[in-house]
Amino acid sequence: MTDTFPVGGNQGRQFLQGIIRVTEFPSLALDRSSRPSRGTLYVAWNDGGRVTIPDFESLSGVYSFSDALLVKSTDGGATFGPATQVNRGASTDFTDQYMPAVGVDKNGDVGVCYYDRRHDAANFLIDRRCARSSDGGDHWKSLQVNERSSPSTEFQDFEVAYGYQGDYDTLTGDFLNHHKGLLGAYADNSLGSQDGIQPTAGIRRRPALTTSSGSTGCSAPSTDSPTSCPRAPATAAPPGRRPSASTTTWSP
Amino acid sequence: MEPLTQPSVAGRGTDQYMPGIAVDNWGVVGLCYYDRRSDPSNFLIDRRCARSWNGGTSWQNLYPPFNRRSFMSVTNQDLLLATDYMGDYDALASDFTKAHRGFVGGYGDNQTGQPDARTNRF
Repeated sequence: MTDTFPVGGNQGRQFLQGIIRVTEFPSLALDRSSRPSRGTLYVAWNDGGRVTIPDFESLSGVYSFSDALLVKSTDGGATFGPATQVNRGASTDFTDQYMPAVGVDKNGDVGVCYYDRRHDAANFLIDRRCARSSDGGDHWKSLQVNERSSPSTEFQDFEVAYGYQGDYDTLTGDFLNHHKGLLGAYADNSLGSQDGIQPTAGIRRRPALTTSSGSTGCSAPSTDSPTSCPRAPATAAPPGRRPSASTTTWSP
Repeated sequence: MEPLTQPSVAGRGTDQYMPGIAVDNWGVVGLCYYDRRSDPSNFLIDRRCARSWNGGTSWQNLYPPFNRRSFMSVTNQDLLLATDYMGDYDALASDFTKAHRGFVGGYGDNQTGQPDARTNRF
């Protein structure tokens, strides 16, 4: 299909900063729409072949920043086209974008959601970003779906397998093709522990992030350039008022 | 030794830990510590300080916390650093020459996703 490159640094296994164990972790989706693109197969994965820096902590001597890449096949997987970088923009060069989950909705629009560190030049803090393409992955629009950035919480609970974040995160469309848009889940650490969140990566024409609390987030840029989303402070919830797992939509 | 009193009862059910203590040239006692009272789940951390003018019998808690945003533990995430460390040697100091009143302390702040050394003065 295409060459893949390990991401992060090597401490016996590949780890992203924050001790997040990672491999390519490919995600696969099939276009089941009634559009001409029906039957197209998409594969997204973590790839570290684009930007690397020296890392004396790594057994390989380098740290490879992760990108979310995507390829597609129009012949049932016999051949694949060139890889597309979903997280485009210079702001993502020296930060990790990892664990991409790909899905296709009833209109044939492709969505890819991934963890994103572009807002932190030190590559620690994590956001969740979703991108969509209406032309089979040639052009992307994206926006941040979480409210507060958070660092890794790995190794904080010894009863939980360490190093895990996002291995099995998925994105899915309506299998019955009744509704457009996509639904995905991800882990959010902004409360100091890992919480499961289920945002709707709705693929609609006028992207404006709203949450169930009614607050307006940000408008999606025309390309996957540095986000225009304001960064919400990672403040603690007031006592007795834990934020609920709100749904997030791109509303018309 | 029996504690005279707690600096605050508002944090019961959550952790307040690694206190640093000092006395200034006015005899005021200062105390700073990590505090999780703002998070009922006892994960997120703030840095708070209190002072007493009567030898610790009663305390004035300083609000808001010195950190701008609550932060979480990030111990064990750098394999080259000693594990589980946070605040063992945090201290609070007063002016040893007695020329100035008040306190200066240092603490670890993880708001940026990594431990950063910060100071606070009161």
